[in-house]
This record gives sequence, structure tokens and C-alpha cells, in this order.
Amino acid sequence: MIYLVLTLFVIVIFIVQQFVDSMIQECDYVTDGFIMMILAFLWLTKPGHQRKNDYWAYILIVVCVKVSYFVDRERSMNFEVEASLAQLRSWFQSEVHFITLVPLALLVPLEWKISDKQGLGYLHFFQCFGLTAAIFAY
Amino acid sequence: MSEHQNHLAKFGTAIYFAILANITLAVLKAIVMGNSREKLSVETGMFILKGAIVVSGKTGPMVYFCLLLQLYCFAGIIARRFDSRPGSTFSL
Repeated sequence: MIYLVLTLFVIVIFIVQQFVDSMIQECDYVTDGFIMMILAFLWLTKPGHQRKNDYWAYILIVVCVKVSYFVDRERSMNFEVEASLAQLRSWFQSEVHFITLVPLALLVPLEWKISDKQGLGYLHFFQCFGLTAAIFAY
Repeated sequence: MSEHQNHLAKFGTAIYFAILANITLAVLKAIVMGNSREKLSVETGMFILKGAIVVSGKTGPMVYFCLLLQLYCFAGIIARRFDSRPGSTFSL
């Protein structure tokens, strides 16, 4: 029993060490990897006949992960970004109006949807809308 | 610091105070009306998100819009999971 416990302990320590090391070096990519893993887990554990349901939600999550990558200003410590991709990324980040005003405008219907589904009421929506308008002006 | 930057800094501070006031109002509303903690966390989370947008600068709106959309989609996926019996889709 003691050998089994010791072996398991070493394996767990090794996994924790790998996890900590990867989070220090490539936190963004590891986080994206975890999101994709959770997504894959959720899809795989669905009954077969329900796997086509909510496909738009899965697509939107993947699109959001990719779009977040394009506005990320940090660089990988281990991998060189391909020149064309780096160029596209810098162009995307230079379009300040596109990456600030468009998402703020899109926040309004999204917040309306959340307020409506959660039953938070009109007051909450108008509070959120007021803050979004203030940030828009800012 | 130029006058324009000074005005911007004051406006930014006003937004932070507005967010704080909205969170306080949401907490008071939840206490008075007896709203659930889940609803309160969604409400306050959406206000804190606005603060995070202001803190993050130019990339903030896009990043936090994506974050909120991701959370909304995840919530939708989780909420629409149907099981024939509890836990049947989880082999564990």
C-alpha cells in the first residue's frame, strides 16, 4: 500500500509541477486549452441524439477564444508567431474604433438578453445601459 | 497632465463611483426584495465587468464582451442539458 501511495503522490506532484510551469510560461494558451477541454467534455458527455443542439453556442465560444487572441498584446515565451498572423494581429489591434465601439454596442443586446432570462428587470438593464453609454462616451 | 487628460481622469473616476453605487443599490435591492444570491451575483458581476472594461483600456471592451458572451453560451449549454436520470450523462 505504501508504494502505491508514494507512486500516486509522485505522479500528482509531477502533474502539479507541470501545471504550474505551463501556467507561468503560457498562461493564455493553457487557459484557452482548458476552455476547449471543458467544451469538449460537455459535448462528449451529451447523449448522441442531443449533440447537434446548441451548436451555435459552441461555435460562439470558439470564436470568442480566437477573437480574444487577436486583442492579446502579450507574446508567447516559447513559440514564434507566424509573420502573416502577427501582421493580422497588429492590424486588428490598430483598429481602435472597431475593437472599442463595436463590442460596446454589442454589449447592449447581450445584457438585455441576460437581464431578460435572469428576470433582473428593467431597472438593472437601464443601469447597465447607462454604464455602457458612459464608457462609450469615455 | 493636460486639461483634456484631467477631464478624462475625472470622468473615469465618476464611472468607478457609478459602478460602486450600482453595486450598492443591487445589494440593497436584494436584501429588501429577498432576491436570490445567484441573481445578485449576476447583477454585481455585470457591473464589475464595466469596471474591468475601464481598467483594461483600449482592448477592454472586446476582451470583456467576449468573456460575457462565453459565459452566456456556457450557461446556456449547462442549462439545456437534459438527463433521463440524474447524472446519467456523466460516466463518473
